[in-house]
Amino acid sequence: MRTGLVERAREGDHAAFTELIAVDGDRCYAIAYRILRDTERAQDAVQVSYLQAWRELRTLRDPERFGAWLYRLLVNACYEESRRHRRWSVHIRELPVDGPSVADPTITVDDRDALDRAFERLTPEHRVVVVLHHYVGLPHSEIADVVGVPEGTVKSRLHYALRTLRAALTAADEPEAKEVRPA
Amino acid sequence: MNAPRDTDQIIHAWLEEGPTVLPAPTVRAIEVATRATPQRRRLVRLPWRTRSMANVKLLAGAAASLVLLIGAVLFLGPRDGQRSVGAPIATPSSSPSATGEPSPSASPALETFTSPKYGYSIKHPESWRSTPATRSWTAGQVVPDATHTDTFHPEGTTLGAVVAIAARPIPDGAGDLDWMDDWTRYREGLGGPCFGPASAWTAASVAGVPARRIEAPCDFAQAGQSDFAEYVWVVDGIGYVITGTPSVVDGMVATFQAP
Repeated sequence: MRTGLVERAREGDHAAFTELIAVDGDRCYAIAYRILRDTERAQDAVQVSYLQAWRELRTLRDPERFGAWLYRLLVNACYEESRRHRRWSVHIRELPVDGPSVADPTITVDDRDALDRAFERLTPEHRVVVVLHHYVGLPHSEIADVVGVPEGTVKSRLHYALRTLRAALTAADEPEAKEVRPA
Repeated sequence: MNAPRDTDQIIHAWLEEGPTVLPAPTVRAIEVATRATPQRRRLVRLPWRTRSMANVKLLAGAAASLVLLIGAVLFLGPRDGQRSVGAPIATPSSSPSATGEPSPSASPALETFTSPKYGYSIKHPESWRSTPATRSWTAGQVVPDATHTDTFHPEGTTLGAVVAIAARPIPDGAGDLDWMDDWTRYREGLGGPCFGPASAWTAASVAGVPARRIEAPCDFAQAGQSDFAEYVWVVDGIGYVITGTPSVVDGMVATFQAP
């Protein structure tokens, strides 16, 4: 179905492109949010990537590869958003307002805070592989294709990022342990 | 004693939290923008860093001092008490209503600009150069920066803008007039060398719809004193802002056409 829409959109069919947004837009937004941790910047990244996709659609030789191609545009847009954000903005952590309001009960407030902080310290390149692997479920080889780096680089980035996040969770446990010990 | 925790499971659960539905205004903004954007015809390999991204950097660099839209506009205003825009500008409208075409004598040579990002059309002096926005102005960005604005300036000037225009979908459920009033209050709160009180905005019209207009003096340490005019209005759920040299803004806004 998507391939047919891509072929029609490539011929300038706006309705087909709108359907493509309906097919992939939510997924792209969810990914962008998890990379950027900011709803507005995620919306910007999605918008930029879809505009880019529309503009460059005729350069896509294989319509079957639209999904991976769109992810690549999205990842690049997220990189750009991250860099722009670091240059110009003061960071204000925001709470998502348009997503599921039910938080996972297995995660404590401390866990969430520790992961937020640790993830923020990761580079965009490290964040991307974490999200593509552990949220989207892409294998290393496909991430390498999307990101445009060797598979070994994907693995090493993932290893480093997960080690950082696990360490943050472990560290988040320690203050609690200290608090319960008598002075 | 607590059982050991599965950190990977926690990380996975944490990643699952967060929004999963692309907001409708963003979808609408993409649709509007794509309808105004031509597809590239050349069958070339997509560069890793695209031209539009390069433009973002270029504009961002050129606009390093343009923290606010109005700052971008007024920095090119008169210096040392002289008009220095250096190009023909439209004759100011006699009234704040901007619903008609400027007379030929007021703007003898006009060129139509259709915004690739926002889809509207507007006429500007033929000798002026236009620089389209490279990014869409979204609800999260209170004030548009140079990358969000279509800018117009006379040939030969080196900085970004004399007139700037940006547009964005107004929030779902917001009334047109409410959005405009919010904008005037925001401008009032901004302070700085220009922007009068919200009460200084007057009723106007653009393309037959209600608008708000303000004209006020500014006093920039670097650029001297200058005036600016700004209109804000809403058409079909899209809020527009145009700001810049009053006579040019008044002339251009009279030619505005929604997508």
